[in-house]
Amino acid sequence: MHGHKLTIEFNDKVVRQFMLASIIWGIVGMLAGVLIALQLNFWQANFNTSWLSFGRLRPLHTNAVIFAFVGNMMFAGVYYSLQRLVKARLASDFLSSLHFWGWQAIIVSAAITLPLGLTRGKEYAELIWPINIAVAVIWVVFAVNFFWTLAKRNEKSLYVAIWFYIATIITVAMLYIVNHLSIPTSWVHSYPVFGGVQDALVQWWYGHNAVAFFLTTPILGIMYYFLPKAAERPVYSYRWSVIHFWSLVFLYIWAGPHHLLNTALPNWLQMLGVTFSLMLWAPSWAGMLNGLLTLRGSWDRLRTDPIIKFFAAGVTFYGMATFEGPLLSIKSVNALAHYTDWIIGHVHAGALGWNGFMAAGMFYWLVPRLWNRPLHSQSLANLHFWLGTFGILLYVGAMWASGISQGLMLNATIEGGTILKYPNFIETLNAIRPLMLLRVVGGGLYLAGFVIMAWNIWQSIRGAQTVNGTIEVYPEPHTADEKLSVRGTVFNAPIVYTTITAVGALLWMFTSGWLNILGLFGTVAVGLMAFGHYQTRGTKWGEWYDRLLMNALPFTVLTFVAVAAGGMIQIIPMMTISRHLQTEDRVAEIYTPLELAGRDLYVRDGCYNCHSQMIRTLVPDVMRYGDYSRLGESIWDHPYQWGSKRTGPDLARVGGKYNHAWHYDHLMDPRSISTGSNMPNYPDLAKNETDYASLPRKIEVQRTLGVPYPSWSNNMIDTLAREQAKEIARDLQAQGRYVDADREIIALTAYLQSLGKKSVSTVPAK
Amino acid sequence: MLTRIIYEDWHLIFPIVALAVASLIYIAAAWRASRMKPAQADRLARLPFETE
Repeated sequence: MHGHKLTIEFNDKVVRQFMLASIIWGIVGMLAGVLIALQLNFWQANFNTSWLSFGRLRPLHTNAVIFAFVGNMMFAGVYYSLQRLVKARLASDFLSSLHFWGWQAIIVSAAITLPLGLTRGKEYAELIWPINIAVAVIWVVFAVNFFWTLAKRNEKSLYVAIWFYIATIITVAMLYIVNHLSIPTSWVHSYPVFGGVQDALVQWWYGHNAVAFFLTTPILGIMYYFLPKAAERPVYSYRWSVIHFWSLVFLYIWAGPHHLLNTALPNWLQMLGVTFSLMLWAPSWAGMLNGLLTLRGSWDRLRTDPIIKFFAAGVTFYGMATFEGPLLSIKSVNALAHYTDWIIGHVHAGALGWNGFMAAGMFYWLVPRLWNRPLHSQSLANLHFWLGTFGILLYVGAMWASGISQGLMLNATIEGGTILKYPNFIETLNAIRPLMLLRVVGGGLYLAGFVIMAWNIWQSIRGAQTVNGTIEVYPEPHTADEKLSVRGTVFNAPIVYTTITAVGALLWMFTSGWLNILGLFGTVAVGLMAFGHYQTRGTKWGEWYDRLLMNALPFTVLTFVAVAAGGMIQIIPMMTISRHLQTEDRVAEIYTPLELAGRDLYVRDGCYNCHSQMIRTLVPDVMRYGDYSRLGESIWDHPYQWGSKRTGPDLARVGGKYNHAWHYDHLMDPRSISTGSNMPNYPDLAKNETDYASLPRKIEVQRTLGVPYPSWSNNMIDTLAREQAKEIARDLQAQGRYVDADREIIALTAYLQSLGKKSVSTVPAK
Repeated sequence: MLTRIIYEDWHLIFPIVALAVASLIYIAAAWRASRMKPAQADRLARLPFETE
């Protein structure tokens, strides 16, 4: 029976706020991107200041684009579509407002702290621990607001876009919390609880799935709502969209180790990453085709409608990027592409093409509906599209050419494979310089298009009357048949049969004797019983599933099980093993207090953005940098510093390769040593004093984390650090470089000289 | 497959439990989605248009 009619006014104010914030932060993030691209071409653009150097601005660029631009866009799209799909106003205006202003405060904090060198030293997870806590709190605010709205909804069924949003909320929370677990050493510094290979694995479980569940699943939800609306026809296949969802949720979470191919990561994990990455091809392309085929019958509008143009191109870029991702996950392709610009090109095809274009299409669609005024200029929107498309193609094309060229040059050998053809790294850098410049042009064009969009939208909304959508509904309470209690979620035929089968299979695989036989026969018997039960009571199975789709909480729990499973498989074995035993044939020695201080400077200045510390198990890598890196050599590194890009050479075994004076000169003016280098100057290192005072607390935290530091007194730590610093300063003085022993450049030199020299063999002497 | 991992105790079982559970839920959900009734699929696909 229908209830009384109710008119609901949606909270579109928060949608407008998030949309405008996304545009503003988008410009900031992209401007930072163009600046750092310029810095790679012209070292002078680092302005000889530490806080505008590439290593500090690159995290600002990535965080701004991911969390500020795409984050705000995502919240706008989620809140707009959620209210309409569930026919209910957002549950709390206060929480909506808190979510918006809290998120902006986090972004501003990040924009201040990152240039100051306050960082955790892990990619896309650089923000310091107090901001991490703020992110977690605001994310919970978002989740409460979202699920509370679902609880108040006036539409029983959950459209597939909402499934994608649910997966986003719970998975991002899980990933973010685990990868940001740290122990503080001060209000602005902490060490991650994971170290070495464990940290690498957790980092890329997070890093890869930040792409999956922050940049992909919410935008897919947005695609499944806004694309049909723009095309004025339902999604091509709803069935495909459901399979697309489950496939992504189950496969994506496993693929993280493909960021660590050919490294010291155990091979079974690498192969797991490769396999699941290749499997991602199918659902990703099913999603792309589902999106594009939704435009069937509307293709003529591609000529005239900029919104359709952006959506069609955005979905196409999704398809291209998700084709390229699995390709790059093949070990032999990865051996060429990893650490090069090819990866940067791949990421930007996704970020600029998929995220950026879907955002633009959504913004242009929303403006007339949120401000009750037509778009100021269709022509400018079309110009934006063509500038953006040309910019992306130029950028991505340049990065492909650059990455493949440099990869081939770095791997090239002569004399029957015994000598490197280009032994000097700088030769390979100079070869790609024109392409690096083209990237600036491509990025600049894209930014120009985005600024035109901002101006066009500003002209459209300036002085316009804001409007909130309304809907008339007849609320209907959930009937008892539709509700699914916790008991009903768990104790039903599909779940019970699945669980018993899984237990039986485990007994079969992992036990011996009668338990093994019981497991084998039990598995077969329960499987047959399940089949028989389904044949006779199949409708009950179907009813359970249908009810699941109307009950957000059980659905969320099962989705969480799915995403958590993938993480458990990879992470639990790595966490439960003994770090002492996982060293291959070498185990690291602890850093001296001065080396630890230098390491923190290395992290602070973002050296990992350009230098790896991981010599892969590849012949050209070994020929160029020395013996391949072992697990044990970085086992005490909190955070790990394996890196993901080689704008400069690998540093895993740079220790002892050059004398102290070489490092001093190189840090002060890299071009005095290496003609044509694009590394910034670091004059501040010779001016700033090393922070000795924080070392006791840092060493105490390292000890808590399992790093085998002895119980040194504070005085002992200070003495050890200062004595080593004096020794290096004396050596420098003997070579004509005069610098006080307490300067940062001494500590950083101590650290660099320790790289590759801090491990001992664990193989017994014969 | 797990030769480079030295296990302590029974933790080996966690990954396999996770794999089994994930696979079974996925197969069930995907199979069920593929058999969705046309009328239901059509009704769900039209949800974005119900607020107009």
